[in-house]
Amino acid sequence: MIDQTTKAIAAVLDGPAVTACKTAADSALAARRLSREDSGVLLVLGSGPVARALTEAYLHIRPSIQRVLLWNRSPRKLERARADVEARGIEVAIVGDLDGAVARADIISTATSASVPLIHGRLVRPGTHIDLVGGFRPDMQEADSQSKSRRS
Amino acid sequence: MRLGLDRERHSQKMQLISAQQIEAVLDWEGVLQALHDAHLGQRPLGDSYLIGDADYRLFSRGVILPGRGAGLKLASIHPANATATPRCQQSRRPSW
Repeated sequence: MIDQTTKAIAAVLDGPAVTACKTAADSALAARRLSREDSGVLLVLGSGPVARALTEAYLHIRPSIQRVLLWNRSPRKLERARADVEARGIEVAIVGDLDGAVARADIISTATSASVPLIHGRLVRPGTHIDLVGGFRPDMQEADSQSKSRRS
Repeated sequence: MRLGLDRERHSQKMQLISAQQIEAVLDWEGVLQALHDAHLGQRPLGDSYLIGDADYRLFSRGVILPGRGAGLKLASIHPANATATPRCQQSRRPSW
């Protein structure tokens, strides 16, 4: 960061920490306007710092969330995330049946590097908010085309 | 031999701000409000540079927001970085 007055370098910040917070806040800012206010079930895909930040951000903007479902290709990496949510007194589960979790969720947030779709639109209930964060290359895809064609 | 630096100008210390310090300062509502205001505000001047090849790349993006400040983002892009990101000072991963 550059000092506005002196134009000297004022600070060097830990990039991944800022990225995780800012990325999750981008999603939450949109979801505050787009997701249902009575959303009760949050499904988060991924185990990295961005996925954990997304969980926290959604719990902040939607206090109506009563249950958090966590999914990752390597479930053991979710133990810390589960403990963090449990510490807030919110029901949390690591799920293996992803399709079943998709069908139950009111908000779905993904922060994975998946190259084949994990979210199938035929399973998504009307009114579900879908937030796809992870794909950053053309060969990455977290949700199938039906998920987008059914958007409202 | 003295270098003759402008001591007053260089007396300001550059801060290294860790993940732990960032976590301690930021709160979700504050970040959301800042993002909201930024989207409604002036578009910053900025440009990005990506150099390197398939094995290693260096990304930089600088922005100037007149009257507000300036910043530079730097990313060293290498597959090994996913598991070996050096930490700023002795910080830990943010709990969120």
